[in-house]
Amino acid sequence: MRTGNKGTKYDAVVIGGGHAGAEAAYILSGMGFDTALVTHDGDAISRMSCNPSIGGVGKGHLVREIDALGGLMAKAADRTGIQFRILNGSKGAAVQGLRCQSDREEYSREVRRILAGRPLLEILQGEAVELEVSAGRVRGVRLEDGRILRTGMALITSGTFLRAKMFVGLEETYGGRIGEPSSNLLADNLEKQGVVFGRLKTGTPARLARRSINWDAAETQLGDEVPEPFSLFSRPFPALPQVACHITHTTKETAEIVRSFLGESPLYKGLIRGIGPRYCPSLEDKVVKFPHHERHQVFLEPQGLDSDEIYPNGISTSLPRKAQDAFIRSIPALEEAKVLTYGYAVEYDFIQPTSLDMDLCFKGVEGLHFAGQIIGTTGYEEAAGLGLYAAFNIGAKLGKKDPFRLGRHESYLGVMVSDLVANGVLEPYRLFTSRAEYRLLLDRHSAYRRLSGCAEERGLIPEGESGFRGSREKAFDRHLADLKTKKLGGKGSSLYTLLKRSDADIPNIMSEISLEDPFMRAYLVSEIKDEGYRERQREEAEKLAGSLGTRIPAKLDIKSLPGLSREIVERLISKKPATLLEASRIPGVTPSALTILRVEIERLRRK
Amino acid sequence: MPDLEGTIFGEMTYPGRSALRAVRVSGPLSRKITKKLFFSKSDPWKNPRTAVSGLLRNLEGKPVDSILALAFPSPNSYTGEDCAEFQCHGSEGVIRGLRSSLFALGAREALPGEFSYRAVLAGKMAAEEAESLGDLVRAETELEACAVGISGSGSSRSRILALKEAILQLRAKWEARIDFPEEVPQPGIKTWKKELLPVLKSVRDALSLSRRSRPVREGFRVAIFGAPNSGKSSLFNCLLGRERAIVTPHPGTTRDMIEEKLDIDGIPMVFMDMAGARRKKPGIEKEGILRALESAKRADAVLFLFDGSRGWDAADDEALRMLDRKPLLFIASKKDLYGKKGHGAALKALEISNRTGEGMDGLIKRLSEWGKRNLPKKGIFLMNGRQEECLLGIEAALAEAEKAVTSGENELLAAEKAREAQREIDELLLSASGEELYDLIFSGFCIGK
Repeated sequence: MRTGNKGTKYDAVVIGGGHAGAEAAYILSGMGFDTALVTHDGDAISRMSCNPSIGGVGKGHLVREIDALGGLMAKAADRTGIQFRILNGSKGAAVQGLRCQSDREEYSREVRRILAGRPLLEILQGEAVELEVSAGRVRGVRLEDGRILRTGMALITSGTFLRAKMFVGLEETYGGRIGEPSSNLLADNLEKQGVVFGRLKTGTPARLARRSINWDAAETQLGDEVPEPFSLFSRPFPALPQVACHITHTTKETAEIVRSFLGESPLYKGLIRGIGPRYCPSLEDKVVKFPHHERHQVFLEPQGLDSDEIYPNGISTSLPRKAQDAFIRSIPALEEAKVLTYGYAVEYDFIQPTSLDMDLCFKGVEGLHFAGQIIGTTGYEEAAGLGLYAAFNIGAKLGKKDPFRLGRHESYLGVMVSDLVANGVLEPYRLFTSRAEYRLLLDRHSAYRRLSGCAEERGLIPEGESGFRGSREKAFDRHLADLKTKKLGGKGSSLYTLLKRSDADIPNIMSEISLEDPFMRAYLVSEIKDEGYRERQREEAEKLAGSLGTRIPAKLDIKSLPGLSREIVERLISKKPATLLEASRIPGVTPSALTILRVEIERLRRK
Repeated sequence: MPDLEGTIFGEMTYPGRSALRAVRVSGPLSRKITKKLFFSKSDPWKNPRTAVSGLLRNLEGKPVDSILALAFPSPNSYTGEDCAEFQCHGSEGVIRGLRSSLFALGAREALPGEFSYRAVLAGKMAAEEAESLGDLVRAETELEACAVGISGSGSSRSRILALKEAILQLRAKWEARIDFPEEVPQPGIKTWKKELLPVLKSVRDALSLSRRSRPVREGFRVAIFGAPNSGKSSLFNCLLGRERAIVTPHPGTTRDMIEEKLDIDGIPMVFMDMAGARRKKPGIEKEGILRALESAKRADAVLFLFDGSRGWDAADDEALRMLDRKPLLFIASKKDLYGKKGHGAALKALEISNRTGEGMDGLIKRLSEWGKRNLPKKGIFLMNGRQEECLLGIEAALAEAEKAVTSGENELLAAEKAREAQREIDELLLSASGEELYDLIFSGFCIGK
C-alpha cells in the first residue's frame, strides 16, 4: 500500500471477513495485489455462524474445487476437522460428498494464520460506511472512523450483515450475529449507488451445554475409518484428534409444544418478510409443513474439541426462549439440556445476482463487486467459492487479462455462478449436484485436472510436476498404463478391461498394481468404470457449447418473435443472454425456442 | 429455412373437383396483387374482412372467373401480415391460371405449415397450438380430425402431461436421495427399480398406443393381392371411382405399385394395387412381384382376388403360397361374367363385379367394420413425427436407467438418464421446466438439518 494525504492506496479492498471475504483476500494478495480486508472484528474472520461443519454433497465438491483453484478453505478445514465422512458412499463416485465437523474456534484461528502469511494483505478493523464513486466508478472506501482506502476495486462480502435484524420470539434486535452489530450505513450508501436490495431470512438453533446432555440416550455416529481430506495435499492429515457425533430425534411432544407456541413465532406472525431456504427449514416449518412426520432427526455436533458447546443441527428456530427450553427438553438425551445461547432468525438485505455481470460486478458501478451470502446464497462453501471467483475476476481486471470464466460442464463453481447471474434467486441459493447438467464430469477426483491450470497461471499454486495437477495426473497416467498392460494372474483380459465389468472384484483387481494411495485408487476406479457414460456427457456438453456459441445481437427484438411462449419471452428480456449458450441455461428455454432464436439471428445477419 | 419476408400463397381448399376453391395470399405484395388481379367497384382493402364480389383477371387483363375477394390488413389477419383470399369457382383451370399470375407477380407457393409458422412468429398463435392446428388441417378424415382435436386439448395432451408429472416425481425422489443423503430415507436399488418400472411402462404404453393410432393419420394399408389378371387393378379403379390404374386383358399389365388413400366410411385406408404374383418371373416383372410381396407382407390387411368366372386354380394356389399370410378377405371378381353360378360361395369369398359395381357396398362394409375393430380401443393417441421422436427418446433414456438399476448398483447413472427423459418431455411439450423439480423435492421431503 502507499499512504498519501488522500488516504492509503490499495489495488483492491474487500469488505467483510467471512468465508467469501477471507477467500477473496487470500486469492487477491496471492496474485500479487495490495489488498485490504475490512472487518468489524479481526477475531471473527471466517467465523462459522451456523453449524460447525464444512462440505456435504455438492458443497464438498465445491471445497475440492476451491482447493484446486488455490483457495484456502480446504486447507483450513483439513487442519481443523474433528470428524470426516463421505456421504453417498454407496452411490456413484461423482455424487459422493466429503463432509467434516470442524473445531469452530480452530477454524477461524487457522484462517487468520493462513491470511497472516500473505504479506500483501492488510486486515483493517473497522466499519466500511461509504463507497466513493465518481464518473460511474469506484474510487475508494470510507470507514466509519474517517479513514479512506483509495482503490478502484471493491468487493463487498458482507454476508447477512446489511440491515440485519434478529428475531427471538416477537423480540427484534439489530445485528447480523449474536453480539455483532449490523451494517446499515453501508446499505444506505449502496442504495445511493443504485443497488436495489431484497430481503432474505435464515436461522440457527440454540447452543447446548455439552455436560448437560445424556449422551447414552443418543445414537453414536463415527467418522470414516480412512478419512479423505478436502485437499489431497494436506499433510499431516487428520491434524486433530477425531471425535464421534451423536443423533437423536424430536418427538410427538416436541411437535405439540412447537404448535402451541406458533402464536409467538415471528415467522408465522408475519414479522419476518424475508424468504428462508426451503432446504434449511426451522423446526416450526417442519412441524407445520410435515405434520404427519412423527420425528425429525437432530444431530448433536460438537463445536470443538475443547468446547463445551453442542450445536443441535435440525432444530433451528426463532420461537421465544421459553418455547425453546420446553421443546428441547422433549427430545431424548436433551431432557436436562442447558441452553447456552438461544436460537434466532436473521433477516437481511441481499442484492439480486441478476444485477451483477459475470465478473460479479454490479452493472451500475464499475469496480463494485459482490460475493457470498449478500448475493443471495447460503452456506460457507458457496460463499467461499464466490469470493474466490470474484477475486479471480478482479485480478483479471487489475492485470488486464481475460476474464475468468468456468463452464457448467467444467465445475460446480461455474454452475453456481451461471445459475445466480442468469436466473437470480427466490430463496437463499444452495448448490445441489442435481443443478449440474453433466454431473459425471464434475466428480471430486478430477477437480485438479479440471481446474488447477487456472490457479497455476495466476501463480497461486506451484506448476508442473510438483504442483497439484502435475503430481496427481502423472501418477494417474502411470497407474492407468499399468492397469491396461497387466493381467490378473498374468492371464486373460487386462485389469482395465476387468474393471469395466459390472461384477468386477475391484479390491482383488486393484491389488495387482502397487498403489498405496486409497484416493488415487478411487480416482482410477471411477474414471475407468463410468468412462463411456462420461464420454457421452462430455461430447454432448461440447456439442452444445459449439453450436450455442452464436452471439445474440442486441438489436434482436425478442418481443417481436413470439413463436416463443410469453414466459420464455419474459425470461429472455429480463436476463438478456449474450449468446445462445447463455439463453439455453435459462430455465424453460427449450431447444425449440433456441431454434426460433437461431432463425431470427440468421435472418438479422442476412439483412 | 425459407426467407420469411416474401409473399406466399396457398390453396385453402383441397385440390379436386368441388364447387368452390380458394387461395390465400399473405405478405407485403397482397395489396398489389389484389389490385392487379381483382376488379370490382369496391376495393376489398377499404372493406376489410368483408367478401367483395368482382372479376378475377389474368395478367393480360382478361376476365377469368367471377369471384369473391376478402382482404385482411395487417395485423388483423391469420398470419399478422397483409392477407388476401380469393374464392373462385371450382375449376382446375381457374386455379392453375391464378397460381401462375401470382407467381409472375412475385409471390411463391407456401411451404407446408408456413402460414401457421408466420402466425406463430407474429405472436398470433402459440407454437404448440400451431402444431396441433397443422395436424388438424392435414386431417383427411373426420375420425382423424376428432383425434387431433383431442390431442390438442384432451386425452393425448393429458396423457403426456401425466407422463411428465410421473417423470418429475421419479426424479424428485431420486434426486432428493442423492442430494440429501442424511435427511431422506435411503432404500435399496430394488426400490429404485420398482419406482422406475411403472414410468417406463406408461411411456411404452403411450408409444404403442401412438403406433396403433398411426393408421388414423396415415390410413390402414390394404394390399390388393392375387394371381395375374385376377382383376386387381379393376378393383382398385372401382374403389377410386376413376381410371387410376391401367387395365388390359393381358396378365402382368401392372408392374409397379400404385397406392391411393381413400376414406372408407370415415376410416382412412391406403389401397395398394400391385403386380400379380407368379413364380415364373418374366424379366421386367420380377422386381414388381418382389415389391408386391414385400408390401403385402407389411400391409395391415390383404384382399386376395381370384377370377370368379374361372374359379380357383393352381395359379391362385401359387399366389396364396407366395403371400404366406392370411388374407382378410377372399374376393371372387368378375361377377358380371358368371352371374349366380360363381365359384365364390363355395370358398366363402365375397363376389364382386368391378364393371357393374355389384358387391362393392358389401366390400366397403366389410372393410369399414374391420377398420373400426382395429382402431385402438383405449382411445386414439396421435403424435406427429417430432412428438413421437421425443417419446422414443424418453423410452431410450428410461430403458438405460433400468439397465443401470438392474445390472450395476448405479443409482447415479439412472438419475442422469431420468434427467434426459425430462429434457425430452419438455421438448415434446415445447414447454418450460424450471424449478419444478425442487418444488416437488421440498414439498415432498422434509429436507434440512
